[in-house]
Amino acid sequence: MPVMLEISGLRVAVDGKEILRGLDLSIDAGEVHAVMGPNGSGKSTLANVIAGRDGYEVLAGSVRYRGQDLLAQSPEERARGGVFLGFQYPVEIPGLSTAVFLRAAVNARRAHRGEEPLDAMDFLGLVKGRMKELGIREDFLQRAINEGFSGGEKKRAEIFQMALLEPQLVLLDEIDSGLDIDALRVVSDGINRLRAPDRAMLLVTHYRRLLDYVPPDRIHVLSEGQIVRSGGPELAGELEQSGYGWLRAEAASA
Amino acid sequence: MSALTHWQAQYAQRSSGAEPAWLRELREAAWSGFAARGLPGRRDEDWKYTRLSALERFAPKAPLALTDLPTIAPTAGALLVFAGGRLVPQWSRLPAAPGVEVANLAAALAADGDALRPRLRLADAERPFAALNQALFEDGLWLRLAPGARLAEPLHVVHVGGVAQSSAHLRLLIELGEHSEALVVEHHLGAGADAYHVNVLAQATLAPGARLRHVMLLTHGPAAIHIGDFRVRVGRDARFESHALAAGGGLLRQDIDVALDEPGGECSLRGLYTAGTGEHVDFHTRIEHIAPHCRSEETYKGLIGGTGRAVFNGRVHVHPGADKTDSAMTCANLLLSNRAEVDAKPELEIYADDVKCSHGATVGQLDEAQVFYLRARGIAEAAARELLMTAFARDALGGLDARLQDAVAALIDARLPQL
Repeated sequence: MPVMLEISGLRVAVDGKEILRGLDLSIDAGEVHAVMGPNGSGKSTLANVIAGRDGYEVLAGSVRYRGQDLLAQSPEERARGGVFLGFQYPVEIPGLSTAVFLRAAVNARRAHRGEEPLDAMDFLGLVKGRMKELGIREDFLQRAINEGFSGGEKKRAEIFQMALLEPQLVLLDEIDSGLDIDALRVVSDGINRLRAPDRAMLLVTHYRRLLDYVPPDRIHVLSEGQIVRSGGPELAGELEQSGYGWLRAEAASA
Repeated sequence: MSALTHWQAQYAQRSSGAEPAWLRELREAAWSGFAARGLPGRRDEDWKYTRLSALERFAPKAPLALTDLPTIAPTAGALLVFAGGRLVPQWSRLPAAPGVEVANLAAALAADGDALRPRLRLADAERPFAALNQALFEDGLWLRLAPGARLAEPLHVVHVGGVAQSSAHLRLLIELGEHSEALVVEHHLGAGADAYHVNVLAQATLAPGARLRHVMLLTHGPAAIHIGDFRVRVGRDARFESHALAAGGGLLRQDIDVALDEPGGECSLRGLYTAGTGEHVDFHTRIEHIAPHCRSEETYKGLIGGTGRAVFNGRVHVHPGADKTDSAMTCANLLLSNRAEVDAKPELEIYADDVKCSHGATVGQLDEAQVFYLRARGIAEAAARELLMTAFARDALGGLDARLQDAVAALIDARLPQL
């Protein structure tokens, strides 16, 4: 399987404080990896820096996506090229209709692939089916982006956007936070439907719960900006047993 | 020639006209009041942030000929087109409808002037530009709806500045009978890039149960000086809805005064003001809660770019005895450059105990989290910023009549690149 994402020696600072301190990670096409770790370990920083958010200073290292230098690209170039970030806290944008936004996003992605833009009718045809799969309300497209949505609705909307944009590299930043069990099931089904041999996924999560529904191929434990342990799905069980306390113990004895 | 000498000449010319004696007296009183006080200056609290130096410097030029009408072009309903304060009959149409009396004010005065006498009367100590309007108006709108009457289509009043006269004074009178309904669009635009001056005074009265929707569109030329004053008295269970869009003009000052005189009255004021480099826009709104059980809501938004300057002063005054008043006001501003400036001031004065009132004003920049969210979906940064500005702007004009939405949205879209 070709390598989809290759991170090596990545060091990133936020407000002058080093958050990622030499991180290596490689994900092959077709694989789902999970990054777990305690609060403040750098999980969200990792997802945001791959997506290109401002405010993260890369001190060293590289991030390559399908062989390209991702760090040299603007966030929109990354997105058009197939990188998708599902936000931990999706923003509300009053006054901007979801339909206008999604069509602009879909057409930006299509233009990058050399495809014709979708007109309003074709676009509607594309979205209606996907909305049903995720149990999204009928008036969703006319509403302003995420405005007045509950936490669960926002996360479902993120998964819906992901399905529409058909990304190659999916980064989901705590997509499971704030979800009740029913919403978690819907979101998980949405993620699982998108598992494909030509797609890689990185799930950033604090809890094991999501991984019961979306079994990963690999799990990495992040602590103080470095991956301190990697393993198969069984690692989730171990973490559940012992929590993250052992990380501190290990760090202290090292 | 300065503005004052120009008006002096206009007044001299007016007073030689063949008008009824009572109207000449009204004009005389107004003119001497205006002349005695002159233009408001920086010591006048109402004009604290708005200098009138552009008007003092204003040098009237030869007016342009009226050749084209870049308006939102209604195809149905009454249309009154004015140029430089005078009716352009060939572009106007006044379809007859049951219970609807609509005419240009000059014609209404000629036909039955005495009926208009009490409606034209102003207070003795008037605001300067209202007094000036009283002294100098030539024409305008006369609209009266009989009880229960309804305007099927929006009535459009279009005024083109800088044409026929470079300083124009327009008067609008609107009187809605019980349970009547009207939608009036007032569109001010101008010809050419030269300075011109427009001074509008509008007075509306709403009898019990009446509903007036008013849409004000200001799309002036870059050197235009527009002074507008809209006053409305809202009767028992009547409702006034105002949408205002300020989208172009060197110096724009608009006052909106609403008197909620009788129980159950409601008003909703929404607006979007914009100012780009070299432009100044000033909205002063005053809502008087005089009777109990009245509601008012106000939402204004400002987009200020370049060296633009904006002023918003929103006053809500709850009088003694106006219990159960329900009032909410917000004003949100986006500064698009670090040289843009806004003075946003909500003013709440409450003299009744049992009321629900809220107000808030914000000034900020585009939310970078929103910009990143759009970029992370593949939308280019410039396009993302434009989408967010459009979203902010359009949000201000929610609740607009569906027949006007596309035209107003197009005016906003055309305006944004100028900021």
